[in-house]
Amino acid sequence: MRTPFRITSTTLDVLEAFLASSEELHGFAVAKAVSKPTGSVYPILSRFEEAGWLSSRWEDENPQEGRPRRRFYELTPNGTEEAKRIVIERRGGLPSAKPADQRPQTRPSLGFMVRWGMAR
Amino acid sequence: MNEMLSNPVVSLLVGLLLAEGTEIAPWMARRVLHTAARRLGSPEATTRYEEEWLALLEERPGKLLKLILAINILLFATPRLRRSYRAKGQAISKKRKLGPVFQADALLQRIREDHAFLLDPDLGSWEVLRIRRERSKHDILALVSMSMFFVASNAYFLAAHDFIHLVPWAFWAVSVAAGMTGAMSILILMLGFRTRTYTILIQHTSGPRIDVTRVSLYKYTWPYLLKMAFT
Repeated sequence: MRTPFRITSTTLDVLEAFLASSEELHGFAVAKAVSKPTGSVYPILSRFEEAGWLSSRWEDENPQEGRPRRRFYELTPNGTEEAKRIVIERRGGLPSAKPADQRPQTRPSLGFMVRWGMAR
Repeated sequence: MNEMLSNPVVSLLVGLLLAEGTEIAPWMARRVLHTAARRLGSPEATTRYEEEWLALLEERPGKLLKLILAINILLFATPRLRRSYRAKGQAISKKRKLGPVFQADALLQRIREDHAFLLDPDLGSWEVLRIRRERSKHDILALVSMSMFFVASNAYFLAAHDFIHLVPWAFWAVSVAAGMTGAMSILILMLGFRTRTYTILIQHTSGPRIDVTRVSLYKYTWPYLLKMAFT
C-alpha cells in the first residue's frame, strides 16, 4: 500500500509513540518518547499533519502567565487506522498502550555517567 | 597552557566568560529559534513554529541544553520544513504558470483583449468551463526531430565505442547529425511552447456559451506574471 511519504524507522517510532499514548502529545514529548532529537521529529509531524493523519491544537487549559503556548498533536481517526496498518505491517504488532502516568520519564542528560557511577 | 591557567587573572576571566556564556545561553536559544522560524519562508509557519518552539525551551531543563535544542532545530528541522513549504508554494506557482486549467483568468483576459467588441468586459461574469490544448505542426516537427536525434545519437554512441564500424566521413556525418537534430529539437520544443494555443469554452452568467479557438497565452506570460507579482 502506498503512503503519502517515505516511511523511515523514525517515522515508525513516532507512529508507535502516538499509538501507545492515551493522550495528546506535544513535540518535546514525542521526541522524548522516540529518543530522537527534536529537530528530526518536527518534519515528520508536519508531514503527518499535511497528510491528515494528525490534528493539532494550541494548549488552552491553564496556560501559565507569560509562557508560550504548547501545541498538542493527536492522531485523527484516519491517521489511527493508517498508523496501525503500517506499524503492524512493518513491525509485526502494535505497541502496548501506556497509561498517562507511565509515559516516558525524563532521563538525566548525562545518564551514562550515572550508570557508570552505579556500575563501579 | 597549565601555567597560563594557573594565573589568577586568566582563571578569573575564563570563569567569568563561562558563567556569562551559560547565563546568556537561554537568550541565545530564543534568538536562534526566532531565526529558525523566520527561515521557514511562510509567514503562517513562522508565527506558528516560533511560539511552538519557544514553548519547547520551557520544557527543556538546563541552560546550555536549551541552546543545543535550538541549534538542533535550526540545523535539522528548519531546512526540511522550509523545503516542504517551498515545494508547496512552487507547486501552486508552477501550475499557475504552466497548467492551462490554472490559467483560466489569464486566458479570459486574453479573450477580452481580442474580442472586447463581442463579450461583456466584466470578467467576473464569465466562467471557464473547459480548456483544451490545440494540436499544432510543432508537435509533429518536435516528434520527428527527436526521433532523428535518437537514431543519430545512438549511432554515434555505438560507433564511438566500437560496437559498429563506420568509415571516417560517415562517423563525422553521424556526429554532426546528432548535434544538429538535438539543437533543432530544443528549438522546436521552445517554439511550440511559446506558440501554444487553446480552445476555451466559456459561459456567461446569463446563459450563453462560446467556444473560442486559437487563444494564445504565452506571449502575454510576462505581463501577466508581473501583474500577479505586484498585485
